[in-house]
Amino acid sequence: MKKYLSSFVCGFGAGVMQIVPVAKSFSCCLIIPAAAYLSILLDRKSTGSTGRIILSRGLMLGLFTGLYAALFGSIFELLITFITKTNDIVSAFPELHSMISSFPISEELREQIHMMLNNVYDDIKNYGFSWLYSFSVILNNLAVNSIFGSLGGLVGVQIINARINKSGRHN
Amino acid sequence: MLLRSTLFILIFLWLAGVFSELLLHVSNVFSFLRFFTGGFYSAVCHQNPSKVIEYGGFSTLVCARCLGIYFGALSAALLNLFRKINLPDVKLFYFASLIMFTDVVFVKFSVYSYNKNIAFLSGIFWGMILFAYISVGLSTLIHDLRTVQEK
Repeated sequence: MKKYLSSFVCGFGAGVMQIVPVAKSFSCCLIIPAAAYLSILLDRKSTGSTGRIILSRGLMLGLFTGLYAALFGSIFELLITFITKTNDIVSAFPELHSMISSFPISEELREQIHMMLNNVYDDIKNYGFSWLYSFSVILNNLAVNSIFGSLGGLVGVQIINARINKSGRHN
Repeated sequence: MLLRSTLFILIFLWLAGVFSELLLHVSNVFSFLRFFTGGFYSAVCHQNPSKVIEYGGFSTLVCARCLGIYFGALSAALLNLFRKINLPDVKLFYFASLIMFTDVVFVKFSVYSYNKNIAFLSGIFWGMILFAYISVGLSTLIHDLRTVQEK
């Protein structure tokens, strides 16, 4: 845990920014990579390291930033859904139904998907919580944020190393 | 070459997902794609309706800036297939970031209103530079891991 404390801090920040509407629109898909970059900087500050960073270390810091962001982002999203009893699924419910109707699948399977969606809709409307919705949000955030976090870490290391190289040449 | 081809294919698939609304109307075969991608892209983009690109009744699943970034990355990945891209100067990265950041700040502080073309173009430039860093980073990482394994 202590080894990835900087990822925890930046992941938490990114998780919050992914949810807060104003903050979310400000930085878009750059939130997670930027958080990964910051976590590398923070890690260097905390360890007092001044030398070049190994790429694999940056990748791991980025990955953990993404995972923490996914964790906190999902918690906040589920919490907001629980309080407001509405979310994107609820507002796009009619559109989802018509989309499923156009699927090239058997009638039986279509009915089952419709039923499943109705259950999610009812659960969120009545209780503010749905197991299926929660599972999909967590899985979705984990997949996407870990990829973007790793990429941010990879790019971040090279930018920091390039700066170190430059300052080394000047000295 | 394997890494470069893989990167190109992955970015191509990612970008194809952005246009899954259009693909849905091309053939019903793609309808599943649209069902899954909607949620997938919402994790990386605000998908603000006023900022997504619309074309013939369809809209992209990400905003103009994100679309620009992915297009830039795909163009660089295509170039990378024919000629290996080297790591660009970090100043170029800062310059591309500055262009994008300036646009974001100017729009936020109402210096001018959001322009999809500007957002898209600033994204393209940044995406190209970013791809170079990702590509070089991954190949260095693989090389490092192989060296460690050999030892």
